[in-house]
Amino acid sequence: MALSEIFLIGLNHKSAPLDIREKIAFSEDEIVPFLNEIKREGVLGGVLLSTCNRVELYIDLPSSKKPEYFLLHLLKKKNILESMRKYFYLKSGRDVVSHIFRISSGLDSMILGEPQILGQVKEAYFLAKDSGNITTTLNLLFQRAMYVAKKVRSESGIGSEPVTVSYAAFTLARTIFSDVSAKKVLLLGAGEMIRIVASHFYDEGSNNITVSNRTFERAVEFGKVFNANVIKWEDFPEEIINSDLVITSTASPLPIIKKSLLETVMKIRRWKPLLIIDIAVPRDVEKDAKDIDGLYLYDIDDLQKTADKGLEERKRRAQIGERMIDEEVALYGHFLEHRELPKLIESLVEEAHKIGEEEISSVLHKLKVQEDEEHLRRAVFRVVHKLIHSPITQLKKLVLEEERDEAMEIFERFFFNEKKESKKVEQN
Amino acid sequence: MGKIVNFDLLYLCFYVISLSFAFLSQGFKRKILYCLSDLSFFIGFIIHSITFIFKWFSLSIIPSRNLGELLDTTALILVLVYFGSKLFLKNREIAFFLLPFVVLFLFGSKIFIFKTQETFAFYSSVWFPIHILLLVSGIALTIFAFIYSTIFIMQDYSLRKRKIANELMLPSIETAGRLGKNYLITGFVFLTSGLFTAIYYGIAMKGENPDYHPGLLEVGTFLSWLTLGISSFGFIRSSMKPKKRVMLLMVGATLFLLIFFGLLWH
Repeated sequence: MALSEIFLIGLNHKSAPLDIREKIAFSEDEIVPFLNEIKREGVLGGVLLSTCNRVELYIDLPSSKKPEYFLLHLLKKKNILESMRKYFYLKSGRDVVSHIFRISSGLDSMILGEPQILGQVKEAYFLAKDSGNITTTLNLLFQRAMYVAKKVRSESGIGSEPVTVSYAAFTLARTIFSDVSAKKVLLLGAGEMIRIVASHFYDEGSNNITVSNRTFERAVEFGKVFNANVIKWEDFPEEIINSDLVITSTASPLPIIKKSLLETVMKIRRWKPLLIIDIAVPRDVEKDAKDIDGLYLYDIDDLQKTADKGLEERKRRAQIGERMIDEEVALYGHFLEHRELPKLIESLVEEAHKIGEEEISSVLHKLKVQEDEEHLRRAVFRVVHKLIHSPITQLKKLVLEEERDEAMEIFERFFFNEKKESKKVEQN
Repeated sequence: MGKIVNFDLLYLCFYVISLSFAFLSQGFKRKILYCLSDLSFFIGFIIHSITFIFKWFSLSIIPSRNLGELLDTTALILVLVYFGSKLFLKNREIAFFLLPFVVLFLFGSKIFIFKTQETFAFYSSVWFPIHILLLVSGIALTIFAFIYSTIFIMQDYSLRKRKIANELMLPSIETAGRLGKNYLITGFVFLTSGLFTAIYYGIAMKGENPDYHPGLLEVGTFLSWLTLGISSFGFIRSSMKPKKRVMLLMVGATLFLLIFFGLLWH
């Protein structure tokens, strides 16, 4: 019942190319006005999730409204041709529950198991909640999705393996240092690859970064990105002594850091741990240096192998996550069922007694003795009660036998359809 | 007394359960199993502490009159150090390494029957419990240093083998090295103080125990202390390469424990 009222309209990195995703993306400032706008159009409540890989609108719709209308509304809002609707997916009921549970857990992400999506889901939820655009059903759904995501992440361990070169480098640093953000980082080179890897460290809080490049001006320019100190190229060997982590990626055809240099450096450092990430091809550091005590040297192949292995491991763990989500979706459905069933029974009891009361009222004036009124009321109450007892018992039994949807639908049609039909006629 | 024996088995049971959960928690559903492990560990610790205090009161002597009791006390202090350090450190993985020691010591104390020496006069001295507690704390802290050294070696090994992902969620190499060093220094200070208090009260109480003759135990204890002292000095000397330092410490700590408990066994 409640499940079928929630719809999802959306697109993601699997269903739509980047140029379409770019056009449909919402900035944070646009989200609340849009949610208010669709509320005026008849949506009971909505949550809009807009990230670089997906735009998804979760709406709680009354049965009188069609979700397709809001898809067209979305396209119109973003000035996108109607033909582009092929990139969108529309889900309802159980599929929405399963979808939000999966995406919150990172199982539907471009980088399998990435954790940022949970934060983005939370943000979207709070944005809708704070602006008064959330309904009880959406609230329950998102609260549960966040709970499930945490559970899946912790119990399947899906996020524990690095799947990118930069994440592998960061994981490596964490295995060596207690507080990576407090460590001194030296960047040798100013290319794209080193920028990607260094960004990960910078985003995680590393703010003691030094840059060195053959072209000093380029180093200065590059250093601005990370708020880094810049040193001359010839000074870098000395700088290694004071650094904890060296990331190197230059275009040099020969190694720029020799084993003998590192032996001297390590001796001066008194073998304090030093991590060198050499992502240059050909390598910037002599490969024999990896045997030096206290020095941990990794090249691009080491990191790539770790990332590949991590991805394989995540795929395996994702299967565990998928199974957990199936269980959670079933549990959530069960929870909603038991939330809906008493309401339905209550409506029936109320309706049946109302009919009985109407019938009593229609014959009351014909009664000659006042005392008979009480007897009549009791008799009608017993008849009504006996009549509805059997269907209610059967309904409860069917719900337990997992034929809940069919049973509730038949039950509703059987007892309330006429009323609904008459309401429709009245409205028309 | 019968009740005390039952309690002894009860806390041992909780430690064994905790150890089982600790082993299982390294796999799937890590967090829940870890919580169960820590809970059993804590319950075991509470029962162990109460039993220990009860024994102390009923005997009027710290229960360390023979090797069995000393092993039991060492196990308790080990767990106490673990829960005490929890206040300052995130040390959940340590339980995995610590519990085998605790269970081993307790099994040792329960399986074998040890002869209790006659109650000497100096048992009643206030210096006896001080000596025992300092000594046992020193042993416990040395075991912690040994555990962190093991973690250091494990982490170094997996990094050299290019196993980058920290599957066992162990502390970083830097943390393991730093904590190992801190525990070692503190433990050595406690051990040394424990030995000095023994010498002090031994001399002070000599007149009251004419049967007492310093012998193999005293000389052996000194040798074990010296072994640990040399390896600790090697570990702290920063000119030594880290892996060698750690290996030296592990060998030194193992020799120390073997000599020390071997002597008491003898």
